[in-house]
Amino acid sequence: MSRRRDVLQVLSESRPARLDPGDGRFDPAAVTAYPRPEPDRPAARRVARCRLVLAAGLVPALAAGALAVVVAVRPDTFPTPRPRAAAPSPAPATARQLLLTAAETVGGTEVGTGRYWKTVVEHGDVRQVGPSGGRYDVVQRMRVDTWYATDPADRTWVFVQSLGARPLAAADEAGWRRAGSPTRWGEVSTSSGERRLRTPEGLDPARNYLLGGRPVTLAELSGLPTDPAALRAALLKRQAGGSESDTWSLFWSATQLVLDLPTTPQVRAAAYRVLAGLDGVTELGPVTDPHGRSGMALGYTRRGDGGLAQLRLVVDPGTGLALAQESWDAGTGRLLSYQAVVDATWTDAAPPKA
Amino acid sequence: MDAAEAGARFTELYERHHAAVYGYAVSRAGRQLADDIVGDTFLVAWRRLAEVPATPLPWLLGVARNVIRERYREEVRQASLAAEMRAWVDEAGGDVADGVAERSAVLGALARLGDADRELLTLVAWHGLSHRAAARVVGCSVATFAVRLHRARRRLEQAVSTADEVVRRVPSALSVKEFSR
Repeated sequence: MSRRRDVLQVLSESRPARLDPGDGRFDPAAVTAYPRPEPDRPAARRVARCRLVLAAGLVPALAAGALAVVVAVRPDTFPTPRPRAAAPSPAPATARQLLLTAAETVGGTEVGTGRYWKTVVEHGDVRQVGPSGGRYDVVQRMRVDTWYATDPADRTWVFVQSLGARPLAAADEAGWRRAGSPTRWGEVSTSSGERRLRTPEGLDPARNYLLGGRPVTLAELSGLPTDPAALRAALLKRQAGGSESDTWSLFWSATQLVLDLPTTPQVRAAAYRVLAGLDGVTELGPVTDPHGRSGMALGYTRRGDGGLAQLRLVVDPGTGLALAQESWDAGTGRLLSYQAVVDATWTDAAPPKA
Repeated sequence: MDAAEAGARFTELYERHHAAVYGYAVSRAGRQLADDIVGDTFLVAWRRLAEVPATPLPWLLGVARNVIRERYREEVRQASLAAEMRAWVDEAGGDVADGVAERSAVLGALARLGDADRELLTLVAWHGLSHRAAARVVGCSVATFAVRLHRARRRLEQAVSTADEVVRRVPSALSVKEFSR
């Protein structure tokens, strides 16, 4: 240290020029065009909006009507309603019933094991593009294959492949055509990329997984209780000291347990039962997930820094599998991002060569 | 606050701070995601204009931090950031000025630190925040921040020492290592 200059000083002088915005100036008017809440009655407004969204889940038949009210805010960017499943499983009447059914189905499957826990997840991020006055949404898609090693002697592999961007819904496709069907918007393009090895630096194989945003080991995941009340307590204990509400952090953690974490079917069933016991989780009816599979959607709405946000979980009641998670802006009715679990399985196979 | 006043106030807030919020977004999630993060952050600021404090930057960066956490899965952010950090090292390597090796080394070392260390160091070194302001962004006390920054700085020093050797022997080792540890 004595022979060197101060490392923070060197770091300050090494600030990359890429941190400075380019010439593509953002117009503040694009933000101020959005409505602001009434300054004197923000709380009242918030509750009213909340009820609207929550009511939608109580009676699935009413959901379309309630959503239509949201659509009125920005009809140009709201995705077209997804078609009903061709041969839907008997639809449980409420979120609770749907989750308990999923718990029963998944709880009967066998405990797996293998050299790797392999997940294939398609990530979608929605971005607004196009000229002012002719904006439309495109979804930028990325496929992430992860081979989580269970043996400390093995290493974990993460492969990332861009699947390219495409217009989100029919209305966006029309907007895209009007704009002359461009294939590139800044760093976003319609063409897909090659699969690349992108294992993040510093990934500790012993603490590979994230539960509720915090690292968790395979042993800790395997040791989670299979009793719903005990699981609920264990999940809350993990999140202690966080700034989130209990219901939200439970919804978040339990959703990850059923989606793509290497837990036993019994823990997964308990996670569904934890979700079934949460206030404010509503059923949104049959949907097709971003990967084209039929399922039922559940939603949980909360006020985050990004506005009124709704996290949705898509479940296939027939198999008890969680298919996808979607993040919606419940204020504008826009889809923000999704993660569709294409595969989540134990395997003894070797990861592909980079 | 009427609509015109709100608009004027927001525009001033935006003009003064958008570059800083952009820089923070790039340093946390890479250029690829930065525009969206800046857009979402200022949308929050617009909707909650009455809550924006007299010293807005720590508040804005705190919002940006939450926007990043809520919108992007951790592995997506990490992949974008990994690409970003490789670009920093490349950019520093292409510079003809003095101190190129030192700059590449410190950026390469930064890329190999833990994410939390990197956040603290860049808040102070690149975004010009005081310890108090940076503590507000990450949501801890000033005392805790000082301790964590001290540790992060020590780990950066250690990482720079090892990077020096790597750079001297194999110039391309840094980026290869980053992909395929």
